[in-house]
Amino acid sequence: MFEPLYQLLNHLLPQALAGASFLNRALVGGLFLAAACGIVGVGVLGHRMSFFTNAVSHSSFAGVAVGLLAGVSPYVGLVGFAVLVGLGITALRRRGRLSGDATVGVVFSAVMALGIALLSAFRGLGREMLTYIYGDILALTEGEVYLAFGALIVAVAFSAIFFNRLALTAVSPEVARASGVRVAFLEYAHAALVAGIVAVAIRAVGLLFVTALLILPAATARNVARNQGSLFWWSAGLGAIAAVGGTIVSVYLNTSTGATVILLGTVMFGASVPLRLARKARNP
Amino acid sequence: MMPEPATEEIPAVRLANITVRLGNRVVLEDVTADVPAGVITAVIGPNGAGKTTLLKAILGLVPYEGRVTFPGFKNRPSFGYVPQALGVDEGSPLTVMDFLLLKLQRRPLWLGRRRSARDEARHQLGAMRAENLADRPLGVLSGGERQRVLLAAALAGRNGGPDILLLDEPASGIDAVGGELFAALLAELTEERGLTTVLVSHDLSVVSAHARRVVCLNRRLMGVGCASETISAETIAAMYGRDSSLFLHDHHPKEG
Repeated sequence: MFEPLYQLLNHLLPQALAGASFLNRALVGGLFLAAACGIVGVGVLGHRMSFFTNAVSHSSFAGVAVGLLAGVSPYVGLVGFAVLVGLGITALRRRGRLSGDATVGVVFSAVMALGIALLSAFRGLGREMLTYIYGDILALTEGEVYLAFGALIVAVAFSAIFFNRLALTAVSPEVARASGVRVAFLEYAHAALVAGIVAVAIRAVGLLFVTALLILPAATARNVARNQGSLFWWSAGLGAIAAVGGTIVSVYLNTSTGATVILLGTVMFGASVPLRLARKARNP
Repeated sequence: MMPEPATEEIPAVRLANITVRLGNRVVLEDVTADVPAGVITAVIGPNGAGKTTLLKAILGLVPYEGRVTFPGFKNRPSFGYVPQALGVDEGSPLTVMDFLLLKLQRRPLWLGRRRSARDEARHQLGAMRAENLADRPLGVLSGGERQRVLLAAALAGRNGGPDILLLDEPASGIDAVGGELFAALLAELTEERGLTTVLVSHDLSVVSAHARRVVCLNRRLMGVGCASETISAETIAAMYGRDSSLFLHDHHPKEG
């Protein structure tokens, strides 16, 4: 299904590596995942959920352990647990007993401790966990490329339906509610989406870097976009460029692919800052 | 507590025994009041009195005990809301036009702007003398500009404007003269468009000049009635403490 894309991206690779199927899968899978993360990142920044994505990604220790111990795949455990943690944080935050970041902090600590406790009790789990800490985009299977494509479709579909309502809720939940937006439903659905995308992307870039894959493209896009509509395209596009560019650069420099993708994303963010300052000078 | 004056007209909003709890804390306790249709009702009280919570209860944004009904409407009325604070910072590329379009069109903004929605947004901004702000980022506006934009957005709607307009401290962040102008504009709009307007305010002189009905809160209802009767030394003392006194000042700039 993705053969034409494989062919296209093959041209960007050095001659010696052209045609290597693992690289093709890394480039195409990475492109899908990074574009999905870029799209979801717009809502994550708008709703100030960076810390939330960190907590969700670090819940993967416990998710993978639970998945393995329950006898289902670690991947199913990871995604399921992440979505549950995302919904749990949202429920606690909405009750308002603690401030938003305190709630996330408490859940973050709890799921992290649970994961480490499980890993130490069942020592065989440790090796499996390494894959999720650092990720391995070069080891993506054909099935995982399809999963990445699925993640992109879900991110686009969610944005097609909820983009406006999500942005309005970020500006003012009261204005959104007054305009007929079901704010509670939207917050839960958004939390589940973000958690699900984070969990799927962990396989490629690892739990240490996944937050950056959501935040960097969206943060760079805020500096270059002129309005809310173009923010979406910039964020998705910059994510895709960072993933494809970073993977290729890592092949040439023989560096860690996940880290190189994030470094390229950081360089793009740095380059966008003067644009933001210039715009600020025009709109003091 | 002052007795509720008898009203001949059917109220737009009827609040019956509204109690709101946040955790173990009672934010509003047993508040019963009518909001008349077609005029400005002001909600006044000290910080932490539950004013914003009362607006949120009317909107259904917080869980409450008691009943909020809309006797003046066959179906659930439509709302416009002017919030006190916005979750948008200087770095956000969200423009004023975007902000109105988020309400006015279902098509996601990344698939383009609908012409009809854009026209409606321009019309509402024009009515607030804020047309020139359309392409500016929402996060960089001054206090006065922002209030005009928020009011334009509150009055914009896919199915015509709102029936009920709720404003949370709309004059905070703007100077006294700006606040007076804003209140006058609000009074004009309320009359022109037949709106039912509920306004949370700190400024008692603006309230007494433009509000037909005043609801005084300090967690519980301290008084409700017409402005001149309700804003009395007695009610003020009950709300703000015995050391407070009533001093109505004139906001109009001196001529000459």
